[in-house]
Parts: sequence; structure tokens; C-alpha cells
Amino acid sequence: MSARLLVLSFVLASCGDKAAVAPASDVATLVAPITDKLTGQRVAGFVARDAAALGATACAVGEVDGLELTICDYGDPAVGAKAMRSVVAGAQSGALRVYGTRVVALADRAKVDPRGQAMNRVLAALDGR
Amino acid sequence: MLQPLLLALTIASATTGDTTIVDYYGPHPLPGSIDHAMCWIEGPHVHAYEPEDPLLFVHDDDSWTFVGDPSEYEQASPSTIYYGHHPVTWTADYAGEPTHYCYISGPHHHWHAPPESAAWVEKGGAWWYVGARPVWYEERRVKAKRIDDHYAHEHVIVRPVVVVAPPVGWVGVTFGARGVSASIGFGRVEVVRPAPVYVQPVVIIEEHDHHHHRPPGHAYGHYKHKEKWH
Repeated sequence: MSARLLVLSFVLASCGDKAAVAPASDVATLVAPITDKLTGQRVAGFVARDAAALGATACAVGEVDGLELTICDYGDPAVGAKAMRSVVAGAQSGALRVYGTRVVALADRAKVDPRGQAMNRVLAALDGR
Repeated sequence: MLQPLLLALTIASATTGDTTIVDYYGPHPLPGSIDHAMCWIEGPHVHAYEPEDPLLFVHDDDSWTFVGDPSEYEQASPSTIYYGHHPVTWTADYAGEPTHYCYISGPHHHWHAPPESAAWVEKGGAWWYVGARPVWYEERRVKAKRIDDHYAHEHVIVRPVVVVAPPVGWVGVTFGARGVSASIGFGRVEVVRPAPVYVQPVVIIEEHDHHHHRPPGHAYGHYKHKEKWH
């Protein structure tokens, strides 16, 4: 199953759980340009998250290889990058990257990747290195 | 197409609420409380902990970059052999002109390979910097001597064995059985520590012992090797 279908199916399955959930198509549109790069990773569970709290126009959070992956869309990604620092706060490891108007935050909140090898593989896939 | 843009994270040891966020750039040692190993994350990233040994890092653009020898922590990590002092070329702000220098004498490792440049010569499996030194080289060397002292203890790292003479143009300190000795450049000699001066071309065959760390699960080792200088 492709990452896009996984995202879509999970979002559809979670409809009605949260008051602020964006339409599934919005979440899929938001995350697909990012998750489509992660062909070698296990991507799962993207749902909308409160964008206003991060000053973003849209946000979604999911999981990739056990790491939390938050994707937000900003009018000014430089501003978004600063706002998204709060997303990685408290995680043992974290990384922020900007791709166009989207700001991506990876966080090892569950301490599953102490040496950062999984996070490095995800970042390599996202950065195309 | 979305183009990746690496963020220059702007706050080094900022706190968000009660949570510390420390910025790093590139692979670095983990705190001993987590593991005796390296963090493998390339590029900018953050952790919830400060560097355990700041001596082995440089700090600029509000992030920490490891400039030590990763084999102290993880022998299976990517590594490149260097010989002697050289510019640090893997910091976030490196753009061809060095802002930091590695002052580790003799053969050692770094995670990253040097950039393609005529100032770098690969010989005997090691990289030697033969370019000009920055004007601040001597000034900072006194302060940075502590990192050289850190690696001067034989138990810290397993020194790579380099068995060739330095390339033309290289200036530095060579390691030999009779102690740290001369540095031979193209007519330039720089003696850093009192030691017998070996003049090339001579052949010195030496045999000496090293005590060194092994990764977890391995006994401490003791080995001998020969070095031959042509």
C-alpha cells in the first residue's frame, strides 16, 4: 500500500474523533509531497493536528519508522521553522527541515532511536541524499 | 518540486518551557548515560542534552559540531584517516575558508572526508593538508592544545597506522617509536615538542605497543605493529 493510501485510509478511519480534524483530502494533500519520498520507510497514521497552535495554515502528524513526523504548511516557512521548535522540544532527538512552504519536524519522542540512525535515514530520503 | 532547505537553527541551548533544546550539526558522541556510541544524524538537528565533553566540539552558529575522532566511541562508524593538523571542513558555516582547525597531531580519524581540493593530498591511506594555514592558526593552537592532549593518551583511540613519509608541502609533527619528532615540509621544519629529529629519506622500522579501547563486548586489546618510513 502506498504511503498516500496509508495516509488517506488512516485519516478516513479517524474521522469524527477530533473536533478540529481537517478534511481527509486536505491532510493527504498536505503530507503527500513529503511522505511520497519515504519509499523505504514505514509510514503510518497521519491525522490533522491543531495548526493554529503552531501558527500554521495546516498541520498533520503521523509516524515514520517509529519517529513522530509533523508536517505543517506556512506562508513564511522561516517563521514556521521557529514555531516548530516547540514540536521537537522534549524529544530525545529531533530535526527540522523546510521543503517549500512545508516545515517538517521529526522527533524521537519514544526514545526508539538513540543513535539517530533511523532519523538519519528518514532525513536522507527527504533531502534526496 | 519542493527543494530542501536546511535550517540554521538559531537558538543553541534554548528552553521551551522546561525543556532544553541543544543544537548540533552532524554526527557526534552520545552522552555516556545513553550509549558509548555516536549519533549518526547528518546536518542540523537537536537533542535534549548538552555535549558531555565540549572539548571535542566547536560551537558556532549556535550549534555544536564534533571535531574529534569518532573511533573513540564507535569503531564501525564512517571514518576517514587524516594525518596532522588541518582545517575543519564539516561545520555548518564552512564555505571554503576554514573557521576552525583540527589540532590533533599524528594519524587520527574524522567522520567526514575532506573536500576535493589541491590543498589535500591522499597518501598512504591518509589525508594530509598541504595548503596555507590561516593567520589565526598559531594563536588558537595554544588554546586548542587540550584536544591534542586528550588523544595523546594511548588508551583513548586506536591510531591508524600510516607508513609513508609526508607528502611534499606538508608541515607538521610525525609520530615515531622514539617519540614525537620533526615535521618535514618542503624545506620547512617545525619542531613542536623536544624530540629527536628524523630526517628523510631514511627508513625507520619501529615496533611499539598500543593499549586501546575496544567496543562494548570486547576485551581490552594489546597489539603490536611496525611502521616503516621511506
